[in-house]
Formats: sequence, C-alpha cells, structure tokens
Amino acid sequence: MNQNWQDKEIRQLYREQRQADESIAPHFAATLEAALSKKRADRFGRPMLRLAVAFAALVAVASFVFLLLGRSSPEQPPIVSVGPGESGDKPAITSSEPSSVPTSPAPKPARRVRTRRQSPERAAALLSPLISQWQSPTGFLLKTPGDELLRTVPRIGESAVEIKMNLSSTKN
Amino acid sequence: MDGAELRNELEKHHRESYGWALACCRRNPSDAENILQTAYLKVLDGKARFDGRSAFKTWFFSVIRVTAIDHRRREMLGRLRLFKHEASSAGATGEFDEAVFRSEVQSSFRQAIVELPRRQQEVLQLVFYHDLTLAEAAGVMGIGVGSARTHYERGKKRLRRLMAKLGIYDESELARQRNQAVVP
Repeated sequence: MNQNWQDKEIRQLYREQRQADESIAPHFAATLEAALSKKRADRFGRPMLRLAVAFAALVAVASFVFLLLGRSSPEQPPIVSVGPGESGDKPAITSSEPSSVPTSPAPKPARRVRTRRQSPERAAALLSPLISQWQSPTGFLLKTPGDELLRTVPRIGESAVEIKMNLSSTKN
Repeated sequence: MDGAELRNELEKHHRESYGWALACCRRNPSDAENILQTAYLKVLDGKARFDGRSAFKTWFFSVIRVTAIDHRRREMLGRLRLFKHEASSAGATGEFDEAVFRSEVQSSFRQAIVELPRRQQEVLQLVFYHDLTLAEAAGVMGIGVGSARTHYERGKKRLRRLMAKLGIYDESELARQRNQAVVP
C-alpha cells in the first residue's frame, strides 16, 4: 500500500517535471531549421577544412623534400693522400680531385687519409689552392745567375770535354 | 517512410523527444537541443532508418540515446583536450534550474534523480515520464527485459530513499493531499 503510494508520488513528480519540460521545449520548426542550417554549414565547412588540411600536408611534404635534398647535396669529403713528395724530404699532399698539373709518382704508396666532414665553405677554401700547385709569389727573387749550374750535377765525360775546349780557346 | 511522413512523426513526438534528450544529457538544455538536432539530421538523412520492427517513438528514443552517448564521449574528449571549458556548461545549467524547477520539491527531486546511476535514471524516466512499458524501455536502452526490471526496481528503491532523505515526501503535492485526507 505504502509502496503503491510512493510509486504514485514518483509518477506525479515525473509528470510535473514533464509539464515543466514541455513548457520550455523549443518549437519543432525551429529545431529542424537549426539542424538543417547546421548541416548546410557543415557542407560548406567540410570542403574548406579538407582543402586546408590538404594544403598543410602539401607544405609539410614540400619542406621535408627540401630538407632531404639539402642534406644529400654533393658534398663529398675530400680524400687527401699524404706521402713523400718530389723533393723527398717534404711530404706532398695531393688530392683525389683531378688536377692539370702532373705530379711525380710517389715512391711509396700514399697513405689515404679521409678528412672529417666539413662545412662546404671551409672545404672549398681548403681545396681551391692545392698545395702541390702552389707557387710562392716572390719565388723568382731567389733565382740567381748561373743557378742552373748549381742545381745540376756535372757528368764525368761531358764536363771534361767542355773543360778542354775551354782551355784551348783561352790559349788561343 | 518518406521524408514528409518522417517529419510528421518527428513533429508528433517532438516534445517528448526533447524531454528524453534532456534526461540523456543530465538535463542540460543546450546539449539536449544539440542532441535532438543531430538525431533529426540522422533520421532525415537516412543515417538512422526506421525498419518498423518497433513503435516509431521507441525507435527514435533509442536514436536519441545513441546520439547522446556519442555527444557525451566527444565532450569528454574535448575536456581532455581542454577544448571546452567546464564553467560554461555549469552556468547554463544554473540558469535552466531557475527557469524550470520553480518549486523546491521539483528541484530536490531533480537532485535525487541525478544521484541515481545512469541506467536506473533512464529506465525510470522511460517508464514514469514517457509511460513506456518495461519491455519498450528495454528496447530503447538496448538491454534485456530482465535487466531493465532489475534497474527499475533498484532505481525506485534508491530514489525513494533519496527522496526521504531530501524530505520530498513531506513537501510534495501528493503528500499534502494525503495529509489533508487524514486530517479531518
């Protein structure tokens, strides 16, 4: 009996709540119109959103490719050989890059030293004036008259003939 | 069912649907309107199709319920991502309270309902508010009749306890009527 009364009480309270809800319920037409306008907005908004996403993806891919290409640009580390040079006492340093100046063959096999990876500017600065090709700008000042006689070694037979000829010419 | 028939049916059940949408979103009116709009779009766009196996009202209520669950899930994700500020919804509910629950009894009753577990709230709402049978309520909730009955009994028991605790029995109209009947 008490439980039935309590059920009725609950039902009554729900009914009151329903009446209150119905009094504030929006009109069907207004709700439907709002739903349709939301749909129209979505229809316009979604392609724009897709376009924006596609553009952002394109920019991301382009920047990635650009970075990738920038890293893998031809920046080969120079291979430098270190070994005895022309004079024998100083080690000549030659590069693997082609050079127009012929170099004398080294008696010993050159030790290949791979230099560290450097920045392109620094590598270019190091490589452009090759040491084997370098000539001192004031080197001509060291040349003296008869410099060839001091540099060359006289041969036995040849020098004797030259001396006789010189002596006979002085007698005459 | 073609578009015009669907519209007619939706219009016929509009007020009740709004009440059910309110119950599905903890009585937040703006959320209820959003849910109802989305449910209407689902029906009119053919995303939700009525196959005639149950009454239209029962079927549409289950559509509203599923939409509300989706809405709740999104809201939860939004809160996690800090997209939505909780204070805004709280303010809306406060205004709604003042506009709708004028009487203190109704306000306390609403408080008692909110304290119930969701399933119990739903089954009580469907049975007492929308006058559905337990089988229909079970259909809307997507559960078996036995489970619905369990939720219904437990819900009633708990609601009675909460109402007694909040003093609703003494203040409600029925209680007053009973008191008037007892007192000569």
